[in-house]
Amino acid sequence: MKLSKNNMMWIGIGVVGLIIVYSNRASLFVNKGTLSADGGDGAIDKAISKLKSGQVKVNEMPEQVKQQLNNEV
Amino acid sequence: MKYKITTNYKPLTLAVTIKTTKPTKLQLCVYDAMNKMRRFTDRYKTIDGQETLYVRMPLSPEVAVVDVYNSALGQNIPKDKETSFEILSVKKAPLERKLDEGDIANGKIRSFIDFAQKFCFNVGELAPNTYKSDDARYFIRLSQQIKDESGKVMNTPARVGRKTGIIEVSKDAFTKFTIPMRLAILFHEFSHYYLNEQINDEMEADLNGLLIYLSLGYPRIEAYQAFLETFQGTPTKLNKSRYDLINKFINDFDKMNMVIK
Repeated sequence: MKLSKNNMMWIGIGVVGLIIVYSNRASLFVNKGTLSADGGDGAIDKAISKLKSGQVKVNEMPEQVKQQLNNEV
Repeated sequence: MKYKITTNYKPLTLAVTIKTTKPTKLQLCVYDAMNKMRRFTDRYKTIDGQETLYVRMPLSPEVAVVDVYNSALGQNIPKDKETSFEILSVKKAPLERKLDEGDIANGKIRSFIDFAQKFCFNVGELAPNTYKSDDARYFIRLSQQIKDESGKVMNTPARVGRKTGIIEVSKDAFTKFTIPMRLAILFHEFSHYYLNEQINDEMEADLNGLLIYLSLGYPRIEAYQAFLETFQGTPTKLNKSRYDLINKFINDFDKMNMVIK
C-alpha cells in the first residue's frame, strides 16, 4: 500500500502530537506532592516512581526575582 | 601510572583492575585529558592482591585519564620504576542506574539536572557571574567566595536564598571538589528551596538531593566525601544525625534491585 501525501501529513501531525504530550506528561498529573524520599520502608521506591511519573511538586522562584535576574543576565 | 581511555562524553562505568604484592594504599583519580581540574573521582583504597575498582560516570569527558599512584610515593613516578602495583586492565562497562535524565517526567526537574551538570562540568573555566538554565527558571550566582552580610568569608561551598531561590556557589570551594561532589551539593541546595516541604529542613534536603544524585548513577563515595567536606569543622549533633541518616539512605538505596542499563 502506498501512502499519499495527505496520509503522511496526518501521520506527521500525529507523531508531533505524541511528542508534545510525552514531553509535557508531568502536567497530566493534577495531584502533585512533595518528593519525600524519607518515610520508612518503600519510601525510596515511591520517591523514584514519583520522579518518573511527574507527580512531584516543584516550587517556583518569585516572578519578580526571576524577571529581575533575566534582565541582568 | 596514567592510562588514557576514550569515553566520548557517554555515561559509563570504568572498571580498573589493579594488582599489588602486599597491602598498598593506592590513590585512584580519573580526570578529563583536556583539563586536569575536571575530576570524576579522586579516592584511595588499600589493596592487597588483585582487585577491581569501579568508577561510575554518568558524565564523562571525550578522553579520560585514569591515574593510579601509591599514596606513600606520590604522583609522577615513571612506569618502569613503579614496582608496588600494576594496572592489569581499564575497561568500559555499562552504567547501571535507576533513572536516566530523560525518565524524569517533570521538565522543571530535568531542566535543573541539565543545568547543574553543565555548570559542574565547566565551573573551573567560568568567571564569577550569574548563570541561568536554558529555560531561565534557575539561577546560580558564582562568586570566588561566599561572604556573609558583614563581608566575612563563609565556609560553605554553596547556599540557596530562602526567599529568592537563587543558588550561590563558591568557586574556590567548588574547584577543589570532583564533579560528582559538586553535583551532590547542588542537588542538596536545589532540594531546599524547590523540592522540600520544609524549606529549612536539612535532612529532607539531604535525602531529596541524594535521591536524584544516586538515581542518576553518580558514585556513592563522592556523595560521602561531599557531605564530609561540608560537615568538616562543624561536628554538631545535627551533623552527626545527618551523617547517620545519609549512610542509612545510601545503604538502603543500594539494596534496591530496580536498575536500568
